[in-house]
Formats: sequence, C-alpha cells, structure tokens
Amino acid sequence: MENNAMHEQSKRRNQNFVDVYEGRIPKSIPISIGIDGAAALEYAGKDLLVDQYSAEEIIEAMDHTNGLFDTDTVVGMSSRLPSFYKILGAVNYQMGADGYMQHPNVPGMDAEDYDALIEDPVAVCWEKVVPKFYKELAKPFPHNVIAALKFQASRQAIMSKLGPASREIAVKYGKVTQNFTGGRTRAPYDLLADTFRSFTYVNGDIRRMPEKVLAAVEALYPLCVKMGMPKVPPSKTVRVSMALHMATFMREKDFAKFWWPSYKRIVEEFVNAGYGVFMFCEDNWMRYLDYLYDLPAGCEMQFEYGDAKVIKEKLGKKHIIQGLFPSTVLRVGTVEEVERTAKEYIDILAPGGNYVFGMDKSILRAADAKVENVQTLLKTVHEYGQY
Amino acid sequence: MELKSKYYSTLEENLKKYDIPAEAAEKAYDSIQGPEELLFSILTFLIT
Repeated sequence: MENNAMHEQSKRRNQNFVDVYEGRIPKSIPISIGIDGAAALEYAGKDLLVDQYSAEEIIEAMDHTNGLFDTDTVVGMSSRLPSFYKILGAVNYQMGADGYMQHPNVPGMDAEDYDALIEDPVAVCWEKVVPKFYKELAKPFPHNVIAALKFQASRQAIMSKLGPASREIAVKYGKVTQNFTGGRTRAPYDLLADTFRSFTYVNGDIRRMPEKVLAAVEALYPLCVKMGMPKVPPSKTVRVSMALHMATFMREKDFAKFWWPSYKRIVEEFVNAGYGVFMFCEDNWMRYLDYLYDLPAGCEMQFEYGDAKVIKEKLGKKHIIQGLFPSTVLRVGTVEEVERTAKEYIDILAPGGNYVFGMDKSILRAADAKVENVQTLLKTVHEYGQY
Repeated sequence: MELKSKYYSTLEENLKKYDIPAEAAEKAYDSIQGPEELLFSILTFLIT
C-alpha cells in the first residue's frame, strides 16, 4: 500500500477506537491484541538469549512482526529488558534458561514494616523494597549510585530508540498512531500484594492484622493515583490501564472489605478527572460482575475467562467489553477453528457496540500462536467485524 | 489527594529547599520538578 493509503488506514483505525471510547458504534470493531517483545523476536527468527540486548535487533523484530500480522495497534514492544535487570542484580526479574524474563513472587518488605508503610509508602519503597529487589542497589555508596546511573543510562539508550521506532512502524503499516494509554497503575490492594507482601503472605496478613492491611491500602492510595494519572489533557480516549491480580483469589467477604472499596474509588478518581479506565480482569470475574457494573460508565474491561453471553448481557450496555477470545485456539487449533471461534465471539459481543476485539491474554512466546492462525484471526475480525 | 513522602517533594518544597525565588517557579519547573517526577517514574518502574 502507498503512504497515502496507509495514512488513511491509520486514521480509520484511530477513529474506530475513538468512537468506542466516546460511546459511538464504530465502522468496524477495533482490535487490541498483545504480542510480547519476546514473541516478536522469536517470530523474526532471533535468539532471545542474545538479541534482546540490542535495540536494533528488537526494532527489526518489531518491524517483522508488525508486517507479519495486520493488527490495529503496534505489537512486539517490551520495556522489561534484561540489560536493565542484569545491571541492577535483580531478584524480582530473572532470566530463564531460554532467555525469557521471569517475574518471581518476592516480598518487598516484612510484616514488621507495616507501620512504616502506613507512615510513608514511598520511603518504604526506597529503603526496604528497592534494596530487596536489586542486589546492586543494596550495596554501599558509591557502588549503589554507580549501578543506578548505569541502569538509567541503559534504559535511556534502548528506550530512546524503541519509542520513535514504534511510531515509525505504526505509520509504515497503517496502524493506530494515536496514544490511547495515558498511564498505568495498580489497584491499591494489588500493589500491596504484588510489591510489598507478595501473593503468598498478604492473605495471611488479612487474618492476622486486618486493620494494618486496611491502613496500608489507604496509605498506598495516593501513590497509585500518582502512578496512573495521565499528564495529557483529559479525554475519554486517554485510558489509565490497570491489570487486576488478586481479587479472584480472595473470598468475596475479603474482596468486599479489603480489595474493592479503594479500587472503586481510584477508578472514580480517574473518571472524575476526565480520563477513561482500562482494566484487565485477570482470571475469572463472573462472581464479581455486579461490582464491575457499579463502576462509572465507559470502563474498558478485558476478561480472561468467563461466559461471554452473561458478561455482555450484564455489562455490555454500560461498559466496553474486551478479551475472552481463547488464545489456546491459536496454539492448537486449525485456521477453520480460529475463524469459527472468532465469529462466535463477535456474534455475542459486538451487537450494540461497546466492544473491542481482544484475547484472553497476550501472546508471550511464538509457540503460543501459529502464524497462520494469528493471520486468520485478524483477517476474520477485519472482514466480519464491520458494523 | 497529594502524595506526601520524605523522598518526594512538590515544586513549592523544592524551590524552598534549593533556595530558588518563588517568581522563578514556572521557569524552573522542567529543571527542578522534572527530575523529581522522573525519579518517581523510575521508582514505579523498579517496584512493579
């Protein structure tokens, strides 16, 4: 396609998202699927163990993968690159034997540190969490400062190339050029669990010291707001993104007391400031659909598992539904199964709008999805997903 | 709701800390508050 045609395609794709976010039915269903940087390198035939240290190799892989797959948005970008974590001596991000970056469950602080967390969460981050997560930053001056400067220099060296390259790739392949993600943050309870106490210990904390957990969630609230609040002018098309982790692993009684109130409040805070909210409802949220319904209208909710018909019926008039297409079909299915399944989800979720086509999860590795299946999926949604 | 911490300062606090006149607030935003905000952004990368 020529440059002009690509420009027009980008405009159409931008507009489809804008229409959904502003409450209109778009001309065609916008597509939001995630393909991780590791998968992009593998699709391009590169070696994770070697090539993910080089911005040039990553850009080549992004270009290859975005040419291979006619996604609406640029895919294959990763910000969790091994050079950063190697320089820092990270224990919270470690490379597996095949070069893939793993994220082990590491508690950033001990139970005795709750009072300090309640007093000043940012101080606990610098004084407790960062030295626990990064061995080089726990060393005495000047070793820690030297490691921090090297980390920032490495990050700047790579990310200053990936950002512009991503924009060039969007233009080259006629993909979305508008930035719809204004910020990323966590639900306050999830931040407590993921960063400070780990998945393992936080559930015990709510039995042994419920008041401290509640106070900690409250103390983390302003930190989470600041992490996510966009720095661009308010618009429903600018989304604050949150991946929701802990809720489905809790009893409903605990969820209602410890998880939900601060989450509802933070969503309202971003919406009242004029922004939209995107949430990845990890795992199965069927028992919490009534809670989700109560959030301010227009939230974009990506679901991993659940009954698409019930989700559409309960939430589809008020919120934007995303996700649910089972990525296993891309790994083990035939192209016919991919096409049939995509049409089934579109038939259920697309009527009336408020829908962005998405999968249950991102493609993390090339082995997760056959090339011909991803191509069939995209072709099907582009052709069948017209309003 | 404002974030309060001994490791995070607002522009007003930074102007006082570095002895910069209040009239320079607008001109000093990028060079004085910019690094404060960048450091906060680096911290969020490190802890998530």
